[in-house]
Amino acid sequence: MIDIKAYDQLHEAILLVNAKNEIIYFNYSASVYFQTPPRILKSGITPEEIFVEKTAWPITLLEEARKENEVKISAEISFSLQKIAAQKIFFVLKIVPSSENSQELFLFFRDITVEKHLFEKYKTQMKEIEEGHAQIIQADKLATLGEMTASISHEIANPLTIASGNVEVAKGLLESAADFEGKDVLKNCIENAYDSLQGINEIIINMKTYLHKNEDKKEYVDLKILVEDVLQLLKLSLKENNIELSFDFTDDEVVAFVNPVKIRQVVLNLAKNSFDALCEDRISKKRKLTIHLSKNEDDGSIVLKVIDNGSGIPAHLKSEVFRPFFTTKSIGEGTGLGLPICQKIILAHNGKIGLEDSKDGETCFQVILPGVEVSSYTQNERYLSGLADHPGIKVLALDDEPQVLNVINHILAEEDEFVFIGSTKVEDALRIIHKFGVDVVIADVNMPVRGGFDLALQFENATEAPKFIFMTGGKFSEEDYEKLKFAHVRGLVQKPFKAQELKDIIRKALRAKVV
Amino acid sequence: MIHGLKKEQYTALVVDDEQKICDLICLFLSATGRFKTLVAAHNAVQAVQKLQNQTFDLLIIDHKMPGKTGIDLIGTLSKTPKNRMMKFILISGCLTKEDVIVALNEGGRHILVKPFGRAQLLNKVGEVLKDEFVCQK
Repeated sequence: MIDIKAYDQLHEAILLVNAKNEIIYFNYSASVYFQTPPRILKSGITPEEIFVEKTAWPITLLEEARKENEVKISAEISFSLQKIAAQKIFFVLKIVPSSENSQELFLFFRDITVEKHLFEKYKTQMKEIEEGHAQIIQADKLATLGEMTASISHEIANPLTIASGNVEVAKGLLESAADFEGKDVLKNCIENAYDSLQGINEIIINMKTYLHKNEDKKEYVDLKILVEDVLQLLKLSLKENNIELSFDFTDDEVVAFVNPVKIRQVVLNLAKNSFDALCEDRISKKRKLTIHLSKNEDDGSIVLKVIDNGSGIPAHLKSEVFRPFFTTKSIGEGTGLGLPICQKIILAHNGKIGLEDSKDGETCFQVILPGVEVSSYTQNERYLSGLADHPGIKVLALDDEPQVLNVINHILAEEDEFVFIGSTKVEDALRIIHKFGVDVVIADVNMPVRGGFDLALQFENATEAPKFIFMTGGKFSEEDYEKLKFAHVRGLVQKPFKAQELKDIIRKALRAKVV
Repeated sequence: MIHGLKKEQYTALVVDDEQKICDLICLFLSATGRFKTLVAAHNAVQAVQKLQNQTFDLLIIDHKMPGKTGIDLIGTLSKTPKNRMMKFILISGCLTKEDVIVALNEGGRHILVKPFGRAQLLNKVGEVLKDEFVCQK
């Protein structure tokens, strides 16, 4: 075989084929590039035999080069190597007829695999950025609209109250005044003024309604299950990278009123960040990822922490992490939008998210979500925003299963008349009743620890108490019937119940003593 | 929980930095004929001063005022034992969710949103004092 020393120094793979397209020369790089040992390349094979996709080889281009004795350049072609069929290489082929014998062709392989990969990464990256950007813009739009609505309605509130109040007084006085010339005209003027003022109020109310419609749909969700589900997605990767995953969960129920899809997004994002940081870390030590979940006893707020012992975040960068597009990763690896989006999501839930000052060697991101009662209450803000005339019947449901709370919430949400708060523990329910005042309690009696009966007992000797309706999935025993005689109990409902049945029994409960 | 006693005549303190609003509320309340004492204050400091010498059955407090906010004032007042029997109504132009959370935590759970008319005011007062109020004139 001929030996062209200069070609052996080049990175490009070069082949020389004869009139029968058999390889008669290859340079050093060719053997590396094609992952094919020299003895095979020497054995008289044709180039297409190196690849898996033999029929894609541009044979006609080679013929043209021979016939016309001209340099030919192919389009971008992609092949899989026999050796590693899963990996594709991309190249452009330059065919140069040999000056000594035009039947022999030099084949120069210009590899563009790296560029191709970068391009694909770039496309994916751009798509992620577009989507992330759109999410942030939408969240910002609503936030700005919310602020504007709040500030406008606030500014208008005083003058509008004064105007409509005084006109109302004037109207009243006019009604009872003796007749005088022009009384009818005056009456008309005042009516018009009053109506117009109501009209202005309507505009503000419409703005507020629009805001409420665009808020996230929330549900009662068991956060322990949600977190475990999310981490399930990463389990395999964690194992492969020798990362020890542990859950530091409180024994208590952790149920929150949140948008499950969005909260899953937050948990996944934080876990992935930790995972990436742990993988980056070259120092050999036990890699740990810990998820902590607990509840604050005083206000029922929920604390979620994602802790890793990876390389950490340098002090001077700690304040930058929530900035949009801030990322320490290389191009194609991260958009820098994950944390800002998480922040928007958590803020929309009236929670807080932040990087905690932690022990040396530990990075801890902390999320605080308001307790179920506050989330439910602010969700039912229509009244608080002046969108409804009366506060509505406040209904508290107590059940250890979040799904039951969701069903009841759904039924009651059909009508403006009801304001719903859900809780999964007697202690939480008591706190809600004392803090917010509740008209009716629907309580499950078959709960693991304390349940509906225990709650009703608390109000046995109270003069002021909500009306109780007990809920049961199974049979009701003799002793249970005794409990129906508690002071404030007004009814019993069997699961599963129909929507109308539930609403009727609640309304009835507020009237005369039924049981 | 101590509940309000139904009375013939009530006393009320109205706290709002806007004089005209104080006037309007006092006018609406006096028209019911059920309020023997109606006092107005324009900020938290004045409100506390008025409370030195007398207690009231009902306090109607605006949230946005110069100095201490209505929510803060309610929070402080509801923690003093001698004010246990007082009922509070928080009035506001527009409360953000954050305000609502703070308000609920400070004990200000009866909230009246501006603009309100006579009917809304009297309904709210009735709800808080567990009584019924109608306009006499």
